[in-house]
Amino acid sequence: MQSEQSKSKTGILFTSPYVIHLLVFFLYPVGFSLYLVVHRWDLITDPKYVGLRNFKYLMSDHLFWQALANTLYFLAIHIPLQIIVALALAVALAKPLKGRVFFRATFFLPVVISGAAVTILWQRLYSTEDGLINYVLSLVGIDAVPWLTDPGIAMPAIAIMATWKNLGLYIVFFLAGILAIPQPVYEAAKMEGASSWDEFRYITLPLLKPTMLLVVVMSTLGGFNLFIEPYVMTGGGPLGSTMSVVLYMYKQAFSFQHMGYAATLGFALALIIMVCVFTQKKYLDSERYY
Amino acid sequence: MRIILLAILLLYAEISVGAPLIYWCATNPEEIELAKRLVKEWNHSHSDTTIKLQPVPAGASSEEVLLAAIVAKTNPDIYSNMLPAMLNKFVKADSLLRLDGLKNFANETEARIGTTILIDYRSPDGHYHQLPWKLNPVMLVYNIDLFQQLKIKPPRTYDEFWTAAKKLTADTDGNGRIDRWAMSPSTTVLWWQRLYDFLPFYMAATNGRSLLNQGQAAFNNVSAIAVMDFFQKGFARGYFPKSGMVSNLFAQQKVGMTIVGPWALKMFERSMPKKFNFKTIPIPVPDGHTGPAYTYGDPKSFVVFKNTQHPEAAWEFVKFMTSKKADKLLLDITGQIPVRKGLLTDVYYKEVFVRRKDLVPFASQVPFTKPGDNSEHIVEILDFLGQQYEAAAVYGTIPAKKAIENAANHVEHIYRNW
Repeated sequence: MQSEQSKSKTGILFTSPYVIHLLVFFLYPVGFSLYLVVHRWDLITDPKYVGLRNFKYLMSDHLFWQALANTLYFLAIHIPLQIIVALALAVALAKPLKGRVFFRATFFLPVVISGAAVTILWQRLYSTEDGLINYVLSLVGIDAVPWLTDPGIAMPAIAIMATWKNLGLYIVFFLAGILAIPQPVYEAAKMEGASSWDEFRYITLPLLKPTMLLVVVMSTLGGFNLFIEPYVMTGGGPLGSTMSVVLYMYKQAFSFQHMGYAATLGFALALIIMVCVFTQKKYLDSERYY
Repeated sequence: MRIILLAILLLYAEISVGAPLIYWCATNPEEIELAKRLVKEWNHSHSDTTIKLQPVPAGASSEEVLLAAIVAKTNPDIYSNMLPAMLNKFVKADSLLRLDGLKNFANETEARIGTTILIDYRSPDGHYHQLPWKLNPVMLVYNIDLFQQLKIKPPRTYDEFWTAAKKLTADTDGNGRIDRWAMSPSTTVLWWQRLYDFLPFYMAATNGRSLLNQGQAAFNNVSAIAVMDFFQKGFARGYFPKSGMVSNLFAQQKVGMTIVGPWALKMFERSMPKKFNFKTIPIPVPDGHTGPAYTYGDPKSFVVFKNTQHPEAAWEFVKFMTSKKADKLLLDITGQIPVRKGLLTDVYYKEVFVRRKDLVPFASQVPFTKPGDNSEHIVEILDFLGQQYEAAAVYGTIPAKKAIENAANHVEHIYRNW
């Protein structure tokens, strides 16, 4: 029989890869970022201690606040759109539909394609003069829409694209949730004379609450990390309307080499995400599940 | 034990003596071809100090890649794509070798470049950390066939430009939508885009003045406002498209003019769906401007990194890459202009210019071409200028004067805060 000491050694051995990974790729970067928050560092010269100057700069940096407002605007479009479309498609795919497997795979396909490739593809689709979307619209007599060059349209256009890209994942979540609802519940409702809408409104939706919380939290986290789409498609323009917080942070860090300020932006963003997620959890998780 | 020691010694000897010097070149196919050819020739005759060629790894800009490489200590020994505007950052970080401390620097540079031009490349500390390699004047290229067909005169001034722009901008297929424009300046705020629109026009309007002077904005003036106003008019009148078209509009004859350097000529020829003739002229100047039309030169220099194990050998390689013969190959293979005095009058290069007549206007422009500012904040300055350009010129949300004032004030802000 193995002694307690030997068991402990085995345990340490098995957990050590994860512990090492955690130390190297999580705790060390977080610790170093904390150090950078009170420093100015341009990557190639020695860091310089500046106390709280980075925070003071952040408070008066209107570009950061604009980026935050843009990101929240993106979330306000992206999350409801994602939930409505993913839920509608999941409900449809849960039914005994012809070619159901094909549709499930097709909707999931964008999730596994590289973000950069998808973004370049949509950039071409959105092109004002020679894009496919405007070509189709012109066939029905609609004037060309400046999808990525109108400050009022660019962010919704990016939100549509991001929703399309992630839709498959959330369809899977909702589908799993719907398929887990016991069939007798629906059968009982039918016997009581419930319509399809009643079933959806009073059975499916309430029982999907845990899935809904997961989708909302994941969409929020993903939305706050909005980067590749504006980076490739608009560079943050037009007129800064698609500049997200993460893109702004990247620009400060890697274009301007303001590493200390970028770390400060990172901590500010982490704080904002924490507040948002806790608020969502409080409201969506407050009632008991059925 | 002895065996281990011997192995360590051999390894050390391999690292310090036999390891090749790493050379990073630009990633375009022509420059890779040139570098391959010259490196092969060098390695053939220098078996003791061989060179390993590698194109710059992919990234948003080669400057960002280089910075990351320095931090990770994976930078090359030699690099030929250094933008002089960025050099000061690397000098401040003490990562570049002082070339004027090496054998024959003065003689070499005097013979190739001359003191008058070389002084533009001096670091703020008074030393030289770069060897200017090429200077590609950014100029106006126009479609001769289209201009002749529409009876347009090549524009030299803003007024002439507008006359041409009005005729060029048209709905050619009659579907009610404009499908041909005068020119297509970039609408994005990427910092380096301003090197190919605002800066060459500003230099043309000011006889080659730079944007900065000792950490101060030197562009809060009527010339800069006139340039910003020029771009604002172009977009507002619909002569420049605001769309996100990513294709080569000049090669597709969807625009009649374009602002480019000589590197683009071969690319045009490759991507033309239908062949047409084009010609290069200087950047248009404001009406009433006197003197030559200067321009920005998109310069690139050779640098050697301080952590190289073989500074002398690296310097020898740089001299080889900038020799008379190598400069001829640079001209011939890449269509780019070496920083070499008397290029057009030297008989050694004559046959290239006879064969490549399209390069003559670029080579003639070199005496009126400037390398731009050398500041560690240049990326941030051009980025903010880009935001103001976008607001004033592309979208017309602020007047040109306000855009220039904002950009100039931001320069002070950058120097004060960072």
